[in-house]
Amino acid sequence: MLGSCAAAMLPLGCEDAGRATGELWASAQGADAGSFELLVASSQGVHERFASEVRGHGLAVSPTNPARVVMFARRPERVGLVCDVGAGEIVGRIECASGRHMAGHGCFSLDGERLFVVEADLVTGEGTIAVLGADTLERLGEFSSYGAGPHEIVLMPGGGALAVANGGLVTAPGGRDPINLDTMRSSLVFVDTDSGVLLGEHTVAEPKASLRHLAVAQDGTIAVVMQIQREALADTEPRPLIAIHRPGGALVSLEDGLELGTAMDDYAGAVAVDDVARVAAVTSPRGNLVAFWDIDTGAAIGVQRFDDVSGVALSADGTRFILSGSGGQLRQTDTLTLQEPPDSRTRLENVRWDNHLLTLPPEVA
Amino acid sequence: MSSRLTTFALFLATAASVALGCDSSGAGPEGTTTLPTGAEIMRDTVQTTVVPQMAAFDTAAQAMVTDVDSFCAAPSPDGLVGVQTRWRSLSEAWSAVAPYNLGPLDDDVITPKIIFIESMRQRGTDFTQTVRDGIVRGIEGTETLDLDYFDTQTFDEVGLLALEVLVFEDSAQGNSTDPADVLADFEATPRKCEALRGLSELLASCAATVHSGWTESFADTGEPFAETMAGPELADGTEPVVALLVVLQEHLDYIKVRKLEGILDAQLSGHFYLNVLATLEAMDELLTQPREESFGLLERMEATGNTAEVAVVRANFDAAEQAAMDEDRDALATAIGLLDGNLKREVPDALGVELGLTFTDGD
Repeated sequence: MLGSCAAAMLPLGCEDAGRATGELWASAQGADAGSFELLVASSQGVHERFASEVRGHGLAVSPTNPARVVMFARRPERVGLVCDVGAGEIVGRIECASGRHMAGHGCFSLDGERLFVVEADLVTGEGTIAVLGADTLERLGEFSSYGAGPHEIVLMPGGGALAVANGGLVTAPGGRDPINLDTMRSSLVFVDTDSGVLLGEHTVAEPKASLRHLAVAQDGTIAVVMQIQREALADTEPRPLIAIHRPGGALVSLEDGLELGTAMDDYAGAVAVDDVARVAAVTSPRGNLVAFWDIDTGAAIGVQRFDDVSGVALSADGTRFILSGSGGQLRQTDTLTLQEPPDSRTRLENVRWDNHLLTLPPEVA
Repeated sequence: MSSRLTTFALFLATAASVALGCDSSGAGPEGTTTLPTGAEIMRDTVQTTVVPQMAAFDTAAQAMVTDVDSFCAAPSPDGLVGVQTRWRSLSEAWSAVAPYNLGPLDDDVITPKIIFIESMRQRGTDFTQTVRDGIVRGIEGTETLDLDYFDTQTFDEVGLLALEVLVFEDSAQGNSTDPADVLADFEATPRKCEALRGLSELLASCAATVHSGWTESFADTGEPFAETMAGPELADGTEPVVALLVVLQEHLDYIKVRKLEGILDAQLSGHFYLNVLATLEAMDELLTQPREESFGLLERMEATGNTAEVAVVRANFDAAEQAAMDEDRDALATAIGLLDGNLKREVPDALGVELGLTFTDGD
């Protein structure tokens, strides 16, 4: 780090003033091959590291075995890592079906028996939700994601349905650049967790908005965040980067705070929702900021600058948004007041938090 | 090689392990001097290059006000040439500091100061027609067209573009750029001069605010932003050298994508390429620090054994500057693309700094 340690920052080893002692978070970390890991850390420092052959992306924790954490590879990689955080062991590895790549996300069923993993066809980009036994990691079956370029998947309250963000983008085999901007079609779909039947499908008005990430409140309200494929647009006008879906309703893009789309450079990185405050926190690593929306009124209610911020998760006690930056920084923002005390900031040395952050259950800490 | 570099080159073996990071002063073998710390280099770089460039922009903006006042007191062909020349000088002075889109120029998430100076910076939109409409609306109105009036207008109706429209074309249908027509328009429409004064004063006010942010006090920090840049981090947690490299990259990307591959600006004045040249020369100076009393980032790279990388960067600057002088749009886009890459890879790698992980690569 350039210069001396700042009093406002608490690098590892310095006196801790953080409020969440013991709370653990997990994330993919590492910038280069050879350094990729699933990292578990607290505000005190690194708790555990699990080496990964590929760069990870999203993570999921079992609802019935809180020490079981899965890290999914970002496209176009094909494997995922299964770890027991309590025992400090890698306990398994998952791999896509032949002809597919992983799409960075997955989730467990409510009973913890099954693991849903998002995959996409290497050539067509058509999405599949692989259904694995959570303990055996054996492939039990699969569902269609009913779209191309699937990305994040979340379990709906009650466990009967999955919400899937189909990004709509197809990339060339082994690549990451989209090749179908002219014909892309992004959607939010709901899929029955038992039958795989399509329960509902929604799109936003902007055809060049790729729906990427989801967060669901306990009443089923979903915040969906997007990345605008600007190169496919002829104008430079801002577009909404967040949309809200309420049970039984339509998917509605939020127009308030539209100019934030420019500040965020058309790119929302991740989203978390707090049920009590009814606030969605949306990160933008390209805009170096976090923006907050009221998910009931649709109002843009705040913004904070944070260099290369991407990961966001609700704290274990539900009172804070935990934010991670790729320079190893962690910040905590009160969900009700949106205040972010500088003295609770930490920076973990030699840690490069990647796109997503997961709060581990208190039992694991 | 300068005498300073000769001395520092003696410590390549030691210096190679001293990244521009959390550093002690990196003491070398007994009886010899050591490399400046990263903070010292940043302080040097900011004080010897950025701050003077900011001062020059401020001075140029104040000079524009003066020349506008002279012209408007008695519009004449020579006076028009004078304000047009002054606009070109001002736009070059701006182009030298436009890359520093942080701190005082980036003082607000939604409406940062930079877009009130260069409206295209927001989203790459050419607001020429918006400016024309605003000028006509103002002139046809009854409000006094002073600084206070323009301070209430939106960012897309003020700044350098608005001044350029005023001094380089008339307001009649067709917007003639014939100097005789432009002068006649000023003579026939005194409120045009009123608008010109108001807009030039607003820009001068902006420039003064930005300059003082760097040298006196910025936001609620209570300290000059130049001092913050020499410290451990900025308000959003960024390391200053990282922030500097990123804004330089972003500006080059803006020039390439929004302008060279999009819409060239400064067309009424015919000054686009010279403005880009001013930007490149300013960045070159920032990285090179050619003054004896200062030690720059490229020198640091050389002193730590990255001479090949420095040679590449210097060659790319030379190519870009030549392309700008040749007004070769394609060659300039290519060269700027290479420089952008250097700022993402060779320069940070050689300096031992890590840029953000997630801001460039997507999910």
